[in-house]
Amino acid sequence: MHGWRTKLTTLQRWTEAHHSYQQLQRVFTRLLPLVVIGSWCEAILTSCVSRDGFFAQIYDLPHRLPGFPYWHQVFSLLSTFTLGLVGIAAAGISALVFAESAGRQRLAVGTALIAYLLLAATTDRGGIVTLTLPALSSAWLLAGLLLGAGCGWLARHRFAMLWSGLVVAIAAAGRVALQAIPHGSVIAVVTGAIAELERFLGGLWLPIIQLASWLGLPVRQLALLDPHGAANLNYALAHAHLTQVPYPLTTATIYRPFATFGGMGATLGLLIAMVICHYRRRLAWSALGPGLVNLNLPLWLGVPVVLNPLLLIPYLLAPAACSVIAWGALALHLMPPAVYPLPDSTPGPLRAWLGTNGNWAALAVASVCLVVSVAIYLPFVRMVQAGGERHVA
Amino acid sequence: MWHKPWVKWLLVVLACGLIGAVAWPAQRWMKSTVHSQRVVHNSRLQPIIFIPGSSATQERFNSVIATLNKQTTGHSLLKVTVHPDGSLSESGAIAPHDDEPYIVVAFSDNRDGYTHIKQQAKWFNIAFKQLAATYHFNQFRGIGHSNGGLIFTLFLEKYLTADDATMTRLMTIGTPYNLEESNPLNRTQLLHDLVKGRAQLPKQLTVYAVAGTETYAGDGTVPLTSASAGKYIFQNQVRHYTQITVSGQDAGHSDLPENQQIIDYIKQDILTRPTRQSLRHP
Repeated sequence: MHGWRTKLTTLQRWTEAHHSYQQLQRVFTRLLPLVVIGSWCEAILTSCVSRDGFFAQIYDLPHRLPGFPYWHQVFSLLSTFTLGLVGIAAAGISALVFAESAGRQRLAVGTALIAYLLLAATTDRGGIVTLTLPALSSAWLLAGLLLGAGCGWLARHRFAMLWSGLVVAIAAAGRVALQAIPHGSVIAVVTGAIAELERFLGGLWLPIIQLASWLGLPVRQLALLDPHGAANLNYALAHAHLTQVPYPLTTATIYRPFATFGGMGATLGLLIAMVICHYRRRLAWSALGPGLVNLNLPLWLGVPVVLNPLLLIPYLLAPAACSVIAWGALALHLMPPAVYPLPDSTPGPLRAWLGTNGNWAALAVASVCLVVSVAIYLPFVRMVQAGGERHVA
Repeated sequence: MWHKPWVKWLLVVLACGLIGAVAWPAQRWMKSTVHSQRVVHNSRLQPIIFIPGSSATQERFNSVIATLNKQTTGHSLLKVTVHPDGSLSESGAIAPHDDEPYIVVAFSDNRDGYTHIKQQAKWFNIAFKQLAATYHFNQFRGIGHSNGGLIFTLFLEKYLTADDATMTRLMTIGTPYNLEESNPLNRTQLLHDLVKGRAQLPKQLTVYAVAGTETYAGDGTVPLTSASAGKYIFQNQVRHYTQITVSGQDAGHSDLPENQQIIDYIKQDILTRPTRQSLRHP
């Protein structure tokens, strides 16, 4: 145990000593206000003022809240122009940070923003340009970071103007080239291949998705109702009990209700661990609201989890442990599987209880999973905390 | 401020209150959502199961169903006979897209008497489980003539659980709840047992007990008091219990199923959509 800890601390020191990692953290710190405000807007949008939101449903808000559609529009706009701009903001801010010297920052930021917008835009044959807003969002965080860092790095070198012009020209040419490829068929081939791989790997696919999200790659949400889920639901509706549903052990009955508290990576455990350790409590409290409805971007960029090798371990381990616990409880018939579909914004620890239509054993297992995920995150949060104090000292 | 002990307690109380304010409406919402989903899911196939009385075969209701099909848009007919070893022989078929087919369940050992009726209820349970699994229904309605009504009642009390399926409506025609006994004070073993097991009856069931009268005392076979002894079993136990007495032409015990008035009651109270355009099956 002790040896492991030393090794991990060494790993952490090594990462933190890296200049580019420090700069990355600086980018995240500057992005954080936008992300926190955006996440709260998104949390209110998806859970309260959307028809299929969790709180909207349980409190019947579409009928009780006056002007419900207008609230939806307001928060939809707010969320689009805060959280929805994280990708492009990441490009700009990382250009700013990586350019380092004040004289080159303007050039770097300008180049990064123009190149990013060029890549996010589409033109038709008539030359009319449209901007696709989702391309500016946090899904393309990694792309934004890389582009911005590249522009910043180039701006520090000789012939910076020339290089920047080249970047813009390549971006424009790349955009046109991308459009020339029959887009739909490529996407169809890629998604088909991914689906095939997913079927082949089964449950092992989940850590891969988590790894991808840790890297900042855009990750597809789990399908709301897979074929097995549909069969389970049919059985449950026909028989009024859940003891013999045809597919009790699936992603939808194990991973989703038990291993995604607070979003991917069971980050509600991280949040609680931070509160327990008194580690960056302000960040923890500001991430609590979004965290309860499974949006973890504030923690993810604030701690940060993304691209942080030390936190990758609990980020993978906590969901895996929760899945094993839930699998065991299902295999031993301690609880029925959660088969009823729920809104995405359902607070994580309630998912199992509600998904079984109020089974108390399922709630107990979910509580155990929550405690376990906190316990797994706790030592890592302490290590990150110790590292932070070393820096200050 | 954070270090005062009462602040901590206040926070704990507040957190519990918040959790309750979410959990309580959430589970109420979930229950009602699941309930309405179940209603939608289950509203499709809902067969009407006929059980004939003693000594009658699976052909007992042919003329009734022919009349019904003439007077309504009609439904397909499946006839099943249960053999003593629990095996089934079937004739006819449930037409695809017919969501209210008729199924007649008869027994090759169709003797009268309480012990035989109990045995027949057991066989009916075997047949029912098999039919429900084959045709994927979990809601059904029933019509029992004479002892057929007793078989349904025994089945509801002893075998059917809410997890398997739900019986929504039951019509018993000339069913002797107190066998041939005309004095309601003299309860037979059968009536005694049925009254004892009444708590197991489904709460949302609607029951129509139809009796015939040729004389003032009964339909010639079953005393009126025996046919109306169903009230001791169903009244205040199921959602609705209605007693109907028909007289006039075709009011004799064996003629009851063919009685036009009773057929009208079947159309009115047992069929859901008697005039709906649905598949006519020869």
